[in-house]
Amino acid sequence: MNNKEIAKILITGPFNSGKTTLIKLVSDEQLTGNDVEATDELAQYKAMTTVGLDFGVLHIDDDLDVHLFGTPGQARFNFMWKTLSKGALGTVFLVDSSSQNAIDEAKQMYQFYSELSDMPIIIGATKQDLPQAKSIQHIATELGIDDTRIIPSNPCIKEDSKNLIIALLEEIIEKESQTQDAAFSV
Amino acid sequence: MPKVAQTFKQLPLLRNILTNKRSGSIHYRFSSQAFPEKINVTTKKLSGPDIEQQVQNLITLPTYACEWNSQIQSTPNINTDDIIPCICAAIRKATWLPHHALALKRSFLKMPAIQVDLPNPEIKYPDMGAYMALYHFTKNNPDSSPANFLETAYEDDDKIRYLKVLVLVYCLGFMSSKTSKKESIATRILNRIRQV
Repeated sequence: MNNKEIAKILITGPFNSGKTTLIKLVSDEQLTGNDVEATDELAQYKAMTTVGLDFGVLHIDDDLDVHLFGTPGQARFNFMWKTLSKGALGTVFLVDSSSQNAIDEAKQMYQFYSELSDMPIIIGATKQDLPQAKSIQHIATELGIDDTRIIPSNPCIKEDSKNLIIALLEEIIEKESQTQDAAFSV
Repeated sequence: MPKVAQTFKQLPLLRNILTNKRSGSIHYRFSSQAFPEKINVTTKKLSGPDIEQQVQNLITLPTYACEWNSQIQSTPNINTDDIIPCICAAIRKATWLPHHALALKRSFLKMPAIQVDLPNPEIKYPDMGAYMALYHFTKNNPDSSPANFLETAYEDDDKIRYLKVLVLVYCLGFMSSKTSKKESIATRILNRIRQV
């Protein structure tokens, strides 16, 4: 019988922000990821898109695996976001910097996640290399957060994807270690 | 001044300065004061007018406002050898109004399980009995929190002694949280992913 402990990390963000790529690059196994032809208005942005789940496994040691869940980016799948976030250590939230529509969608989605629980969220701004990319400061203003919380990232580069996960884990560790001092907050 | 809740937020500040061995100053204001005061933490010592009394006030009175100013961080290597006696003396003389003691106790009640360092012989804290009681209690009860320790005090005198020793080990950084399961898992993942 396999008694391995499972930790869960969520990779989320609107359509076409790089979730599938990130999971593929940092996982030891990518078990699913159902790419289908994009339809409707999405087809003009991306030929293939993920329906259902992206799912990757990272083997940590003999006793621990990490499951990386990529949520479907389309708003019509938002009923899954809450379920998938249950028990997650934290969330990597990707935003396509090159599209104002995507940033608008990210704004709503980010609000949903930040109200869902107090789990740590790290934000990766993707496609910063494109000429039409909005600045980090612009995205921060749109999301209503400090721009130091956004990391420019290209999910196609393994180091960038890793760094996002590392930043999330560091935030989780920092948050957990603050509990003693937090006792003196009101 | 807008009315805000009184807290003992100055204690984490004091602790962070002492444990990180940083220089700087704590600016604070009690409800009865018109102007803020400050304690400087500079190389080798705490300084300020009547420093022992100031530290005693910081430990015993909740503040309305309290912040850390790191403008004098250019002298980063402070030596806590001279600071520890000052903190010990301030805690020894400390007395709390009942509602202040309660507010302070409530903060400790919120803390997770802790572990406490074996007392350093150089501390010379006058109530080593209370320190050893805390040390043995946390050692023998691995999941014990400050709340569990405070529950073991039946006499009023012991309740204050135990509160004082908690303030001491907290401020001097001799108390640390037991690593949470979440933190432990995140650390293992972090170590692994750095090798991916």
